[in-house]
Amino acid sequence: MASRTKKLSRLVGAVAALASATIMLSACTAAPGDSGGDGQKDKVFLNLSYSGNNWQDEAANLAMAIAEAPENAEKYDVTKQISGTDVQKQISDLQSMIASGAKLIVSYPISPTALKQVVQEGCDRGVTFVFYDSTVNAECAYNVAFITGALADDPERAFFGAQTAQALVDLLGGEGKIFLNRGVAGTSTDAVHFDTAMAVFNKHPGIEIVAEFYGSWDSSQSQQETAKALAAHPDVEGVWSQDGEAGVLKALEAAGLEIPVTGENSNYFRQRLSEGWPGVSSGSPPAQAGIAMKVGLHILEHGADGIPKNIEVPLPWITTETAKPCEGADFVDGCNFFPGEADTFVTEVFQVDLLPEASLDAAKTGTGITEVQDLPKMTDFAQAEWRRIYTRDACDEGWAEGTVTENQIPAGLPGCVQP
Amino acid sequence: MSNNTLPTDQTGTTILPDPRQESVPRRIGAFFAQPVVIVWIILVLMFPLSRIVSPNFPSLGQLESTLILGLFLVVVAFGQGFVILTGGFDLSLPQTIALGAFLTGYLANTGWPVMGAIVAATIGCALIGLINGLLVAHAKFPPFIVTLATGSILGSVLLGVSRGTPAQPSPAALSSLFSGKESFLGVPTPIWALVIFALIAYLIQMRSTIGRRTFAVGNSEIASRVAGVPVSSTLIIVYTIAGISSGLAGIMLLGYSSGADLNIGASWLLPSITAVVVGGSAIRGGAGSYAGTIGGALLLTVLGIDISAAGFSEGVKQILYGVIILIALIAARLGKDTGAARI
Repeated sequence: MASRTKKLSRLVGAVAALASATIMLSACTAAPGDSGGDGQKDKVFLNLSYSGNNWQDEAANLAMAIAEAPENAEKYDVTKQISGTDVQKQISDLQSMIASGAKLIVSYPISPTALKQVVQEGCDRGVTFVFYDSTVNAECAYNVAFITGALADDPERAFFGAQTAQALVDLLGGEGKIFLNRGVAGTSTDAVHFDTAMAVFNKHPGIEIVAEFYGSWDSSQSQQETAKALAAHPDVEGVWSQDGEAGVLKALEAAGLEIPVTGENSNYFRQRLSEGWPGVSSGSPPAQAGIAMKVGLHILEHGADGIPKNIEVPLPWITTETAKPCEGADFVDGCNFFPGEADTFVTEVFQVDLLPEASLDAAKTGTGITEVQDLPKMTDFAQAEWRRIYTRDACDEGWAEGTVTENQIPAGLPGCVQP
Repeated sequence: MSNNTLPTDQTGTTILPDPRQESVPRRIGAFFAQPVVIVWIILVLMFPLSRIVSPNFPSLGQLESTLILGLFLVVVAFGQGFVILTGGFDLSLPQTIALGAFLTGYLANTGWPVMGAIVAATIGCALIGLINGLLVAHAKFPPFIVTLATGSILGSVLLGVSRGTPAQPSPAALSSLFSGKESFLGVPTPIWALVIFALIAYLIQMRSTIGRRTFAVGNSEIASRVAGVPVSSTLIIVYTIAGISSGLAGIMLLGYSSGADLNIGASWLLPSITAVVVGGSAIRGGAGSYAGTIGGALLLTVLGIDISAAGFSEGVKQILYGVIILIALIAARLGKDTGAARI
C-alpha cells in the first residue's frame, strides 16, 4: 500500500513537471505571434492530411519550396504540419494554427463539410485559407482543385472521371468488359470521379462493368484488388482506374494481359504508355499544392483582387502517343515522366502556366526554387459556374441546380444552371 | 456381474476403461468439432461454392490467386497470432511492415547486395519487436498501449527519415520472386514461399520449446512462473518473432508490388487479427493453432476474391465480409462447446 502511494505521488510529480514544461514551452512559442508587430515574420502554415506516399510528399515539398524561396523566406515563417487521416485532428490542428496567429494556411482537406466551421472562424480572424486537390465548402476558402478540371486545349471537355471514361470507351471501340478501380471509399473526390465516369459508361450499353473495387489511391492495394478481380474475370478487356494504376498494370502484367487502361500520373504508367501500352494518363497533379501556396502568398502580398475563389487546375492528358521520357529534371521538349524515379512517383510536378518554376529537385526535397514566377491572369483559371456544385455543394447566387446541357462535354451532367 | 461387462486380463484382474479413450464415432465427432478442422472444411467448401458468384469458378486461377494473395496474410497473422497467444496485441505491425519494405528497398538501392539488405531489414524489424517485448515483459505495460506507442514513433521516424523518397523500388530479384510471374516446377514462386514459411512457422509455434512456453504463458503467467517457465524471456522472444514476421511480410510485399511506400502496412492490421481469431485462437490467449490461422488467412483471402467476383457494391461487400466472419466464429464456437462437452 505504502509503495503504491509512493508510486502515485511520483507519478503526480512527473505529470506536474511535464505540464509545467508544456506551459513554458507554449508560452515561448506563443510570444512572438502575439506581438505580431513590425519586424516579425508573418506565420504561414502548410497542413497535410495523410502522408507517406509519393503524391502527398511531392505536393508538400512543392508548397514548401515555394514558401522557402529566398524572396518568401525573408518575409514568412513557414511551418509544416501533418494531421493524419482523422478529421477531428485536422480541425484541432487548424484551431491551434489560428490561435497562434497564422496569416495563411495552405492545406489538403480531409472533408469538405467538417472543416467548414473552423475555416469560417479562421477567416473571421483574418486568416487566409487555400485548399488544394480536395475542397472545402466554406465560402471564404480558396479552392485550388483539378476535380472538375478540363483539358487545357479543349476547355469544354471537363471532369477527370468523365474524360478518362470516354477515352476508355473509345479505346475499346464502344464495347467490352471492364473493371473500375476506385479511390478511397466515401471521399467526395472519389464520388465525383465515379459519378461522372458512370454518366459516360451508362450511355454505352456495350460496356459491361464486371468488377468494381476500391484501390484506395494506393498502388499495392490496387494491385491486390485487380489480382482478385482477375481471378474471376480473366477475360477483362479494359480498366478505368483512379490513382493506383501502377498496381493495376502490374497485376495485368502478371496475368499476361496488355489491355487499355486509363489512370492517373504515376511514372510507371507513363513509362509503359511510352512503350506502347494502350491508355490515357490524367488526374491529380501534386503541382496543385505549389500553386495553392503561390496563390496564398500572392493574396498576403497584393490582396485578393483578381484571384477567383474557385481555381480549376487543367487536367493533364498524356496518351500512348504522347508519353515521352525526360532526360533531365525538367519537362522540356514535351517530355512528361522521369525514368529514374520510383514507379509510384507522380510525374505532374510542373504546371506550364501556374507553376513553371517547379523542378524535380523541388518536388523531392522541398528546396531549390530560387525565383518564384508571377501568377498569370488567374481569372483564366476560374472554375465555370456550372461546375460549382461539385466543389462547394451549392450554386452561386443567381444559379440553380439543374442539368448542364451546354458548354460542357459530356452534356447532361448535374450542375448549376441559370434559370 | 462386473465380470460380465468389464473385460479381465489373464490374471483375472478387471481392466477399467481408460477415461481418455472414447468410442471411434465420438472421437471422429470431437475431431470435426475442433475449430481448426471447421475452418479448413469451410475453406475447402468455399471453392465449389464460389460457383454461385462466378461461372468461371472454381478454377485453378482462383486457387493460385488465393495462395499468392494469401501469402502476406499467412505471414503477418503468424506474428500477430503468436502475440495473441500470450494475451497481447501487436499494433505496431503496420509500421514494422513498412520498415521491412523501406529498409530493404533503401539499402538495396544504395548498393547493398539484396540478401544483405533483406537480413539487415529483418534485424531492424526484430529490434522493434525486441523493444516491444522488453516494455511488455519488464515494464509490465499493457501490450496494446506499448505497441501503439512504438508503432507511432516508428511511423514518424520513417516519415522523417524518408523525406523525399517515401516510395522505394524493389530489387529486381525480389520482384521476380514475389510478383507471381515466375514459376518453379509449374507452381508460382510465391506459393513455394507460402509453403516454406507455413512449415517453419508451424514448427516454431506448435513444436518448439518457445512455442510450448508461449502457450503456457498465455494460459496463466503466474502458473507458468511457478512451474519455472521463464515468462519474461518468453514474452521478449515472442514479440521479437512478431517483429521479424511483420518485416518479412513487408519484404514480400515490396517484391510483390515491385516497390512500396510507407503506407504499405496500413491495410494489414485488422486482417492479421481477424485471421487469427477466425482460425480458432482465443482472443485472450492461451489457445490456438497455427494450422487454424493459416486456414483463417486463406479463408479471408478466398472470401475477398469471391466477393470481388460477385460484383456487389462496396457496402454490400463489407456487410457480407462481416457476416461470413461472424458465421465462421459461431461455427468455431459451437464446435468448441460441443467438443468440450464430449471430453
